[in-house]
Formats: sequence, C-alpha cells, structure tokens
Amino acid sequence: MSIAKKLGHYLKQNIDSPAKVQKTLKRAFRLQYYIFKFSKKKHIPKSLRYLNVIGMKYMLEPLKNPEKSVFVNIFTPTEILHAFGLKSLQIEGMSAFLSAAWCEDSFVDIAESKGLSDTLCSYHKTFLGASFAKVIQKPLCGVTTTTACDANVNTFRTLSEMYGVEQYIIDVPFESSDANIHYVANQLEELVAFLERVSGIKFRLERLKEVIEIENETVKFYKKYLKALETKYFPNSLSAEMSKVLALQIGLGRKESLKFFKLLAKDIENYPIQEAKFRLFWVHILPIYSKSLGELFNFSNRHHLLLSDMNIDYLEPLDSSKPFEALAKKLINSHYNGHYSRRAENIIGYVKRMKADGVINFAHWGCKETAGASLLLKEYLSREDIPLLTIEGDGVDKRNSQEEQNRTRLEAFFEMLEARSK
Amino acid sequence: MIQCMCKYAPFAIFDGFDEVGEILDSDISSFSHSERLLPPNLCAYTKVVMESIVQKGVKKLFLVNCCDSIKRLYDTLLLDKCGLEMVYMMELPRKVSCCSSALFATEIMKFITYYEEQFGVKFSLEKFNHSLYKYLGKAVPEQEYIAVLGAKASKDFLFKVSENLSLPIDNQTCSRAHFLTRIEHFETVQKAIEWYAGEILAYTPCMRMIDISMRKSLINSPNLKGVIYHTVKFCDHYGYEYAELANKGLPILKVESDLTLQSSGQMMTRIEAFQEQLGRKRGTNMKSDKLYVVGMDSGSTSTNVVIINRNREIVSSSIVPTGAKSSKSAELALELALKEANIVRDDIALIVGTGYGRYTIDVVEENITEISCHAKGAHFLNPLVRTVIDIGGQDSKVISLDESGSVKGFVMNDKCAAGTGRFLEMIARSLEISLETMATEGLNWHEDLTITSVCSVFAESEVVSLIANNKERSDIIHGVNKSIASKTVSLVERVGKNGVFMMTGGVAKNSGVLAEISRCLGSEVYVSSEPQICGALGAALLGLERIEK
Repeated sequence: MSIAKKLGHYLKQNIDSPAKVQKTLKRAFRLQYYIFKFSKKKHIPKSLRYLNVIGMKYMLEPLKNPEKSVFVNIFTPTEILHAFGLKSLQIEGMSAFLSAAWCEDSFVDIAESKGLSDTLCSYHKTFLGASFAKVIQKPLCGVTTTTACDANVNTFRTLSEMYGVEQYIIDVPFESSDANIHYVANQLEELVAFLERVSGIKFRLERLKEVIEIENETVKFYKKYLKALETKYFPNSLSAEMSKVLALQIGLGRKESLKFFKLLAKDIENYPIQEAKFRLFWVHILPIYSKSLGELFNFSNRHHLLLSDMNIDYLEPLDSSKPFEALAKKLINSHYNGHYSRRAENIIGYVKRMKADGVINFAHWGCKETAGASLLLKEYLSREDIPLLTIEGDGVDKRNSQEEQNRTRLEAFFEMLEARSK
Repeated sequence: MIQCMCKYAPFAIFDGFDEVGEILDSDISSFSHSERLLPPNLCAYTKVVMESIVQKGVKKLFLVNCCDSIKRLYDTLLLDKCGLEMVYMMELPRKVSCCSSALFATEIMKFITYYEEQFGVKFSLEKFNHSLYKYLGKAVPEQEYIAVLGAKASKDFLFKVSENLSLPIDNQTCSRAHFLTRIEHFETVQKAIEWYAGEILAYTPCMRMIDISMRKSLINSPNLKGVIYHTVKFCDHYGYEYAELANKGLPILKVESDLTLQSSGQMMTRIEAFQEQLGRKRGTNMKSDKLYVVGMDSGSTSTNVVIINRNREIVSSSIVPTGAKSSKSAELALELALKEANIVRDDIALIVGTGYGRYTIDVVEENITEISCHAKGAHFLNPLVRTVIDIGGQDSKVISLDESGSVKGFVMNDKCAAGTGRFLEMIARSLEISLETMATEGLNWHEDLTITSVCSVFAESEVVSLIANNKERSDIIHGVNKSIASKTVSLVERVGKNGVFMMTGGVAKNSGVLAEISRCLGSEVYVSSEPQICGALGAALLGLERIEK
C-alpha cells in the first residue's frame, strides 16, 4: 500500500474525529510542501517543481488561517480577495487534494447520505461531505459566481447555511454587452463593500490595481511560453497541468504565480523543437490519480500533453485603471460562460496554433457543461477535421473511473492518429 | 403554440402575438432520439424536450437559460434545428434586484423584436393586457394538503400522486403553471414590460436563483401535512433542498424519476406507503367471522405466503420462486400454504397482497405496500427493532420504525441493481458458483479487495478482471459483500442510524453480506429464522387489524 493510500485509510478510520483528520491533513500537506520544496528530481524542470510548491502553498494558506479564509470556486475573481489580503480556499482544489489523500470516497458517501444527488459533480460532493464531517474549518465567508457550473450557487448556499457565514454570489449573465458588463461591475463593487463589512479590512483600490498589473505581467509570460510551445517540446504531466489551473485561477495576481510563469517561459527556451510522436490537446480536467493515464502522459515525449483548455479560458490584458469593469469583462467573456460555440472556437484556435494531432476530451462524471457538450465538441471539431477522443471518468472520485477501458480507448486513438499521419 | 419549460417564460407576451404558451409535458416512453442527439448525462427533462421535438414535431420552442443541461440543449439545437421553426433562449437573471429587473425587461423586449422580425407579426399591447386575467393564480390552499416540490414533474406523475393520496396536492415543482398574483392595465409597451419583468422575478424562486429564502414559505403553511419531493435524474439542483428538508421532521417522500412513463410500479408503491405513513388509510374495513388471514408477498424473485389465525399465530408459510407469470406462482404458494395449514380457501377471511406483483394477482383482496408490511412483520418478530433493512431481488429498502412499529420514514434504491439480490446472482454466475456457496465463502477471506464501482454492470466487469488476475474467489466475494454493505449502510444513514437493526428479504440468508453490514453499522443485525416471509407476515397482520376494526 502506498503512503498516500495508508494516509487515506487512516483518515477514513478517524472520520468521526474531525479535529484529528484536520490535523493529520494539515501535517500531510505541510510535509508534502517541504518534499516539493526540496525536491531535486532532475527530469522535472525547475519551473514545474516550483509549481508544485506554490500549488501546495495556495492550499495550505487558508487551512492555516481559517478566520481569514474565503470559500471560493474556480470562477471567483480572487483578485479582489488578494487586494484584501484574504486567503482563497478553492473548493474544487481542496477536493482534488482530498482525492490525492485517498479519502474522497468517504466524503462523497457522506454527502450522498444527506440526500445530495448521486449525479452531482464529485468536486462539490467531496467538499460538501468534508464540510458535513466538520473536517473543513469555518471560513470568514464564501464568494462565488453563477458561471458555467449549476452546482456553484447551491453548494455555496449550503455551505453558508452549514457554517453560519455570509456569502456573496456574482450573477454573471450569458452574453457580452455594455449593460451586462455594467451589471457585473456593479456587483463587484458590492462585493468589495461586503468584504469590508465581514472582514473589517479597509479596501484599497490601489492595491487591486497592483494585483491586476501583476496578473497582466503573469499572463504575458504565460503567452510567451504558449508561443514557444507551438513548436517545442516541454515536459508536462496530469498534475502539472491541473496545478497550472490553480496558478491561473486563485494564483493570478500573486507574485508566486508570476515567478512561476517567468520560470516557465525561461525553462522552455532550453527545450528542443518538437520530436514527440503525438501532440495532444486536452479538454477539461485531468484525473491526476489515474495510473493508466499517468503512464501514458506524465513527462512523456511520445504522447506530448500540450495543455488543457482550462488554462486558456481568458488571456486578454485587463485595464488596471478600470479594475471592476476589466474583471467584469473577464467573467463574462471567459470561455466557460456563454454559448458553447465560444469555448469550441477557442479550443479550435489553440489546436491549430499548437499543431495538435488530436484532442482528448475528459467527460467528468456529472458535469453537464462539458460531458454534456461532448457531442457538440465532436461536431465542431469534425467540421475542422480535428480528431477527437472522449473518455469518461471522474476527476476526484476514483470509483467512477474506468482505468482499463480508457487505456484501451486511448491506445486505439493513438493507433488511429498514427494511421492518419501516414 | 409555443412550447415552454416553466413558469418563468413570459406567457402573456405570447398572447400579445396571438400565440398560446404551454409547458411541455413529459409524457414520452423512451429516449430513442435524444439518446442519439444528446449525451447521456444531461438531465432527463432536457431529453424529454428533445424527444418531443422529434416525436411530436414541436414547431416553436422557448427556453430559459435555467441550467447547464438546457444551455447545452440550446447549443445542440443551434447546430441542428430538428425541424423547429423557432428555437429561442431567454436569459433569466439569477438575482432579484432593480438592475436585474431592468436587464430582464430588456430580455423580454429582445424577444418581442425577434418575434416581430421573424414572423412579421406586430406585438399587440391590447391582447397582452387582456390575457393577464387568465394567469391570476391562487394563494396557498386553505384546506389540508400535500405539497409536491422539486424538479419538473409530469402530469402523469401528479395524477398518480393525487389519485393515491387522500389529501389534495399543491404542485410547486418546476412544472407549475405561469401565474400572476395581481394585474394592471398598461398604456405603453415599455411600462407593461417593466412591470411584467418585475412580477416574474418576484416569483417564489426555483433552486437556480441565488436568494431562495422565499422558498421557506412553501413549507410554512399550517395546512401542509407532508411533502412529496420529486427529483429528476441528472438534475442536481433539488437534491440540496431535499437534503435540508429531510431533517425537518415533516413527513417527506423523495421520488426520483427519469420522467418516462415507466417505473410506475416502484413509484406507486412509494406513494401508497407514504399515504399509509400519513395514517390516512384508504379502503374499507371488513368484518368476518372466519379465522384465518393470508398475507402474500409477490416479489421479483420469490412469492411468499403466510397464514395467521385470529390469535396472531403463524399457522403456515410457503416460499416459491416467482416465475415468468407472478399470478401462477401466487396460486401455487397459496395452495402450498393452505395444504400445510390443513385448511381450505373458504376458511380465509381476507387475502392481503404486497410486493411488486400484488396488482396482477386476482385472489388478492386488499393491497398494502411492502414498506408497511415489512415494518409490521419486523415489529411483530422483534418489538425492539427500529430499523429494517430489506434487500430483495430487485430493490433494497431501509425502513425506520417507532416503538409502536409504525413507519417513521423509509428510503429505497433507485432503478439500479447495485446492492440487491439480483447483483449477487450476477456475481455468482460470473464466479460459477451457487448462491448458497457464495453466502458463506466470503467469510474466509485473506486479501482485502475492494470493488470500487458504484454501478452493478461495471462492478461485474471489475469482478471479471479480478478473476482474470487470479484473485482468490473468497477474497472477491468478500469484496462484493463489502460493496453491498456500503450501499446498504448509506441508505441506512439516509433514514437515520437507529438500532436495533433487523434484516429481512432473501439476502438476509447470506451470512457473508450480513457480517459485512453489521461490521459497517458497528452493531449486531437481527435476522429471524425465516427472513423472506417478513413482508407476507406483515401483510397478514395488517389484514387482521383491518378485520378487527
């Protein structure tokens, strides 16, 4: 049994003693943080080793300071929280870390035993289950948006009632128009007033502007990396690509993320022009625990995992002189929001730029936004003659994964790509 | 005719165009077209809409961007209209504020412009004004009632519910009609639309809205006697509210459906049991001098008969496999039991049926659901029992009882073989052993294997891979037993873990499963000498009670 599995076993055995589980998790995460920090694994580029460190850091911070933590999800404009010096506890990220600690199944079961739907996204169920089990400590408040995922509003409302804390939800309309941008920008100002009230911290507009400038700088380096990636090979793994989601969501506007993308843009300069057999573009989340997918993709220069579309949702520069409007535009124009054609066109643009040989779409169990769009993606990509493979699984709950079936499908897909290239 | 999804569509605007709006009902029996056109995990109502477009030739469709599934349906229809003349999706804000109301009014105006341009018809304010009357709705019912809450419910479902309950129902699901609580007369379109947008946004919100505090009013009426909570497969919005209401002490029944006309057997059973739980039994009391009452449990795997006398003593019982025709097995089981008791049909005062097959058996005179029957039987066999775990051939259920043996609450698994007797049969077949061997072999395990899949079909394929990997048979069986136990215990947790536990049904004879369940519960589980006849016994006891009244 691996150490992680042993940890999971211990946590599950003590699930009725939340304080014990909390303490053990914090210790395990802290230990992992130091392991990452002092890791000297040569096959992993310096930038990606640093990415591991900051991913762990972003998760540990809110656990260390629960009274300063704010429950957020992947779509929350955390720039505003950074300006307040508050710590974002991203619920999806925490669920992924609980899955890495092999205890997500118990939390999913707890959530379902309360009556939550068995088809609900396991990122949400795991976090809700852990909260029901009192493993997650009371935060200062919660902030989310209505973007893309139906579960957001209901999960945050449930958490807010469970912990007796207030929450702010940003209603993000579908279409981009001046009126809609104004509607969202107004809410962001309301959010600032809300945070001032619940935290007692005075908001400084200048600080938000600085955060946004760091964000712009960060995205510039990321774009430089993406430009180089068009022709080059650069090592990647399922977990590195998922950690980039953290760096680009709750990490944007922070110096650590800026440092990472600077390193990344520098690291790629030392890598050769692409020699990998297959250049592959990923759609949606990556199941970091998957042994079979890991064997195929982690640091593979045969199956070069280029990037996931989660990391290109919106990369336009933000106008730091009008921060609320800029963030409102970002929320509305994110490719997660609006009609699916927006996301599909963005994917196609990057697939062409990256000269990807094919697209792998990970249909996460219960996700209506992406698994529910698998036929749409197929239609859009087939119009461009881009090969697509949809595999089904679960980013968190290992019980919903089909390891061997997915390996077979992927191998068949590679055979198909090979035949195509001849 | 414009087909819509829910009350949030601006019906009176359609009237302004001489169109009639209608909420698209789910009265289809299969998803043959939508299975081809949509991914399987979109919500069942989305599939109903797609199926209706193809099957019934819907021409004009008006959607609201209420959830991820509907958004994806709209995206799909943008690529292939499937014969629709009009497919329109309106944006509905999730917040209720002056800003959102203004945005929503703009959305309604956008539709007016769209319709005028598309169909060359001018919007008539006069027709709009006139139509408002027909939407004037009623307030909360003034007499005692049962609320039906949750996601979209079909007319068929609502009909079945009201047929089987003694109290009237109030439909507050997503299929509730468009309504207005007050009306006005307007001189300009602008004014009319601004007002109308505000009225619609002020509705008691559905679960997609941000502030749902007004939903509390749905359960606050003193006339409310119970809630039937309807959820739809792959719609996750309402599970949250159910989770909250489930612990409020209000009689509540959760029913999940895929909105097809099938599976009514299981649904009927639940609604009837809920009626019994509410303590408003229907049916007539019978008087008779005869001494014997028959309880007959027609299950998917076996048909069980128990005969009791006036002193509540079991005089005989029989168990026969349910063949292809349940009425034949019922006749045979009754005949065997009569023979054993040494009595004839004329000595029987009443035959009470329970189980899925109860409606198809002619000799049955009274019907009571297996929920009430199992509770009654269990209480009779051991009055200390507070939780009955019944794992039968095709379903499993957990019933919680009070001190008097009345049903406090119950849950059943949904349309799935995982955690049932059928699942064990499937596995026994894969392992090429008999159920009897399997029942004990799992007790002697060495390696702690885990069957992770929650679906019986995938679980079976996992078992097949374990066989291929040369794993010990006893270890595999132990893994299977653990999987059933974990499913079962999650049902127990849903009704509330409350000892003493008793297990009934055929699977109670499987000592491997029993051991795992009791390990997971951390408590002994009581099993009577003949766990399969518990339902039939309860039916007979309830029959006798009715005669005695």
